[in-house]
Amino acid sequence: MSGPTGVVFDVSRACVDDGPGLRTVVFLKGCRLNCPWCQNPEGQSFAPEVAYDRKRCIGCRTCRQVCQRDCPFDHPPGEREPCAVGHLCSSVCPARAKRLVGATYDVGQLVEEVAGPASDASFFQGTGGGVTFSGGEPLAQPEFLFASCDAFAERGIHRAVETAGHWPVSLAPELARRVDLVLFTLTHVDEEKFRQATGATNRLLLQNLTTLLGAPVAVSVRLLVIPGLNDTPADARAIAGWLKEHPAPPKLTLVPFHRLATAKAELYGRPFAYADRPPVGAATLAQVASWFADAGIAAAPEG
Amino acid sequence: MLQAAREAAPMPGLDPRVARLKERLLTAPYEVCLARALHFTRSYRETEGMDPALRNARALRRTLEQQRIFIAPDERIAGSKTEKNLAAPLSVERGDFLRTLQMEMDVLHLKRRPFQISDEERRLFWEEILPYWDGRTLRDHKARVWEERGIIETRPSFVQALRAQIDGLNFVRALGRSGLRSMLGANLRARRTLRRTRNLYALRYELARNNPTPATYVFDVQGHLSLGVEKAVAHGMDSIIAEARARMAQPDVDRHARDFLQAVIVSLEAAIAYAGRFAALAEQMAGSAADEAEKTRLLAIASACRQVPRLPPRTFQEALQSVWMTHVVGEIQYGTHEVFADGRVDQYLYPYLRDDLAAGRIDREEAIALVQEYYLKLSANVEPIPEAGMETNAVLGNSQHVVTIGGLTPLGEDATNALTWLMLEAHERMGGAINQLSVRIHRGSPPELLRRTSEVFRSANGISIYNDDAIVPALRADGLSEEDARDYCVVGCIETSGHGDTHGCPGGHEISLPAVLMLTLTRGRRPYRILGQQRGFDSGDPRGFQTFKDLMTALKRQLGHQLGVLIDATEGKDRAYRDVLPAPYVSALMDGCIERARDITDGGARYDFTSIDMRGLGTLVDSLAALRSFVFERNVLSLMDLLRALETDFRGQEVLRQRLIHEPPKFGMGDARADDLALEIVGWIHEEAGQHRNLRGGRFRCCYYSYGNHVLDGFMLGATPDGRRAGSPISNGVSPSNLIDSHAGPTGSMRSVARLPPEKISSGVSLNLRFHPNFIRHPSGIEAFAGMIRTYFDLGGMHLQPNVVSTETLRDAQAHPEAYRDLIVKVSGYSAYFTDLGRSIQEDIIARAEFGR
Ligand code: SF4
Repeated sequence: MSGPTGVVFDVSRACVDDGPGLRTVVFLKGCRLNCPWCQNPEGQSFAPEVAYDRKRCIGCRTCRQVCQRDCPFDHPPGEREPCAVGHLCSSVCPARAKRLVGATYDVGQLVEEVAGPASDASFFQGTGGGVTFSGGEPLAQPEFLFASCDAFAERGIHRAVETAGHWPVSLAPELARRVDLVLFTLTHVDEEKFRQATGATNRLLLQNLTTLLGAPVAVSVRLLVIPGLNDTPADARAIAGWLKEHPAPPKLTLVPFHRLATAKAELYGRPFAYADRPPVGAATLAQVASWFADAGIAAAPEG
Repeated sequence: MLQAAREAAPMPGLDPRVARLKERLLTAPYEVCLARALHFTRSYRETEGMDPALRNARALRRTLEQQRIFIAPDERIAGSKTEKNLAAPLSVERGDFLRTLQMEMDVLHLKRRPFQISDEERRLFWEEILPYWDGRTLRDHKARVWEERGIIETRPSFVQALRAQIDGLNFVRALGRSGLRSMLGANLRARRTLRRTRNLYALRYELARNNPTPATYVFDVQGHLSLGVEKAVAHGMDSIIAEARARMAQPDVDRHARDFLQAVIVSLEAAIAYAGRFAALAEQMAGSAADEAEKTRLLAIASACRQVPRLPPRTFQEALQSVWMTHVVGEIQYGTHEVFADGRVDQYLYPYLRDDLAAGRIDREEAIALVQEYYLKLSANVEPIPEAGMETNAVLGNSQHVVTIGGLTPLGEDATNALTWLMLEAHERMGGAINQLSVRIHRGSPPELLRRTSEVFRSANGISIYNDDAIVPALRADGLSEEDARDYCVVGCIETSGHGDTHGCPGGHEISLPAVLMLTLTRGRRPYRILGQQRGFDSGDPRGFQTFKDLMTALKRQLGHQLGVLIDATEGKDRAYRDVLPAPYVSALMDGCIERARDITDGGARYDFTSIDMRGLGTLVDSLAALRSFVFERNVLSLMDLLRALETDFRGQEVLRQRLIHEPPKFGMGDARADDLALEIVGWIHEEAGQHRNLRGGRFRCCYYSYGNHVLDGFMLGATPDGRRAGSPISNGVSPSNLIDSHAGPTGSMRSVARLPPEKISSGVSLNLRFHPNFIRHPSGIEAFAGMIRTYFDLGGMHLQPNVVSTETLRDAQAHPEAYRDLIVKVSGYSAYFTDLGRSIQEDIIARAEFGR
């Protein structure tokens, strides 16, 4: 390995909702926020970790032969100590029931996988697609992200980044220079509401969004509509008010909260914090869109 | 909730008349109609000793003159196939399903989807029809040729019979409980188990008449061709009759040729007279019509049926009437499983639509409704498939009558026209129809055609998409002229054919590739042979395989042997067709036959081929890749140990099985290590098949599709080295096996398949990929979907058949079939109503990777 490296937890092909055309999405592992609604719980921690899919387990106990320690998966969620050994079980599991999630890549390896001979690169051209970095928070591994973006830029591959914006403000101009599209996920502009839910400030992300909106890069702002957090007319007014402070207020794409992460979190032995929140339907989205329209901001569901 | 979602998106603007026709088709009881069988039997009994073409024409004429006809409510296009609303006629003279039907005649009404038959018809079947045909069917002739040539064993000696019984027990054991249940027809709620067990044995003996070896199939079908409907529509049958008369007057015509031409004339005149009966009936019904609208409807039918198919049509409605009457007479002539493609309907019917629209004789909505009615008619056929086959086949729309639209003109220009769009929309707004709509795309097609086609998948499955830029050169290499190659159409499942000029015989000559591998690994002992089959072929002792190359050499030796048997057996079948069952009506419409004064079964068509259909490419390649890696490269275990594990279906060896699934490379994931093996095999088979010519001098072409039979192959096959368990399906068409990880994406499969050279698979392949509806829920997703197909075609892919349906919907449809009667899926090649399929094939479709969740 040479140059900067990054921890990647998935490379997913032929995706259609993460930028134009057909995308190969690179999921970078690790995020400094800890949002309870996170749809990719495997992207939260930085270190590689073992996922355990009980449906695939054939009960052969091969994993037990290589590791006799107390296994976190033997305890109910919430009472688990993190695994002190790690990875031994996943390397021997024949059924891929235990699987190590998170692999270290250097830029060359990533380029090979995304744009090499056995990749979807030919489909990028035909569909106007490209590579999308997601996470986790891709900007939490800025060196690797930027070096990868440069390498893809050299090959003329369209680059998009999905971000929640919680990273040092110095990175924003760097990012804007390197990618064609930023998919920015917003949840709330109200600092107190955001802090209550996540324990963190939203000042960084708001400032970063402001910088990006003023930079020469396409920014698509997505509002993740979450029941109990931002689904009232007052929330819509507050968010719209903040957006309107910008010289060219962006359009909003409304993305519904769903609970598909519940099953995913279980694979990692973590409970999904928002497992009880109701999923958001088309009717709610339409209503939220109308509140934004009243407040002078165009908002529409994906599509 | 899923049901609610379906209801929330009603089909936009379906004409109420068409909605009623559709509802009637989907709810009609299945019946058997013996009229055709009876008329054929009586006619054949009277014409013993006559030329076979004339005998066939006379039998057709008698049926068309005497079969009771009807015009159904709401129909604007007339022409019924049987005396009943939705019934199977029996092609007694062919014999395909006769034996199994004989076994099941008493339980037809007990089938999962019961077939109704009257006691009187049952009596006629036993007392009049069956006794005459015993020993006289095409199947009997075929079997005789096979016995003479030693392709199958006749009277087994005591020792042979004993050995076969032991094989039989092993076979039953290998099938396992679920396989056995399917074979025995567990769905029959009949209690006579002794009889059913005897039937199983009889069935096994019958199988040898389809399967000369445990890895090959030669079914009784020929058919499966592009019917020269265009010729009948454009010129009228009168002009074809005149052509035949003129040909007859020429000095080179001998007695046999004259009989053939006479048979052509008799058949066409009978078709014209059949239309005349509908005209008369319509006039009569109009006399007592309840209201003006009804009277107008009937008089329009009468006037159309007086004009066509005798003369060229004057309007779009008459043109469709001409297409349908020409087609339905073809169905009656052939009887069962004819699979006649009407070809490039948007091309030859466009002028009529254009003129009617211009003159204000029709509006677009009316034209769409007429096209939809035509689609429904193409689907309205049923087949009382033996219970064992029902697990893997569709009953409704069993005979796939494909329609082709779009593509290039013979001169190489874009052929898209107003009717192309209209036919696409007709399919969309009906929520699909079972007939397969085949859309041809070339580099110069309007991009909107592919985008619009992609969009249609939001409301209807059942479309296949073809790449002219790969297929036209492949057909050129097969010997078609440039213009004829550009004018190709699709037949049956996915087979490419010249338009009305090709006797392609794409159906019924098949090889299960994984079975060939297992024969290689067991010196011809597995899969078990069945009573009447030849002894297995020993391609070398696996203990002697030192390298992977040794294994490949033995595999090719085995494959070469199997191909040889297949080709020999096919010739036997073709000989039987030529000698006892010509098809003068079909030949009348086929370019070349009148000119050469020869039937299609005797090399009359301008182009003649036989296709060999390979199944389970993915399973074979994955197995080879696993063997190479585990046995020859990494020495994980010895070949003998692996074979022992396969023998016991991995009993106690689940760890090994999991490793075989997960570690070696697999076909259909864009992985060159596996794909190169596929290339080697496909290339080798093409080369080998190319050495041979069929009875009529035509070439052997290769195709890779499997309709439902990959499931049946799977039933009969033990575990394979790719980790597949005994009895589960092998891979379908050129699609990856169900064991692959969907992680490589649809694009991985496309990259793998696009590498297969079109000229080596020129008869067609089916790549069947399943997508979650989310993939195309947004306009941007539709664009990406279209772009993805465009790229796949640019990479050299020939064909794609997407299924856009989620696992949840399919499960819900299994639980509430009544709510999903019109849910259509592609199986492997053909389209079917999902709820009409056997459970095994439903499970196979659900097990396929689902992309774009
Ligand atoms: S090795 Fe894998 S399959 Fe075996 S018991 Fe452990 S997790 Fe289950």
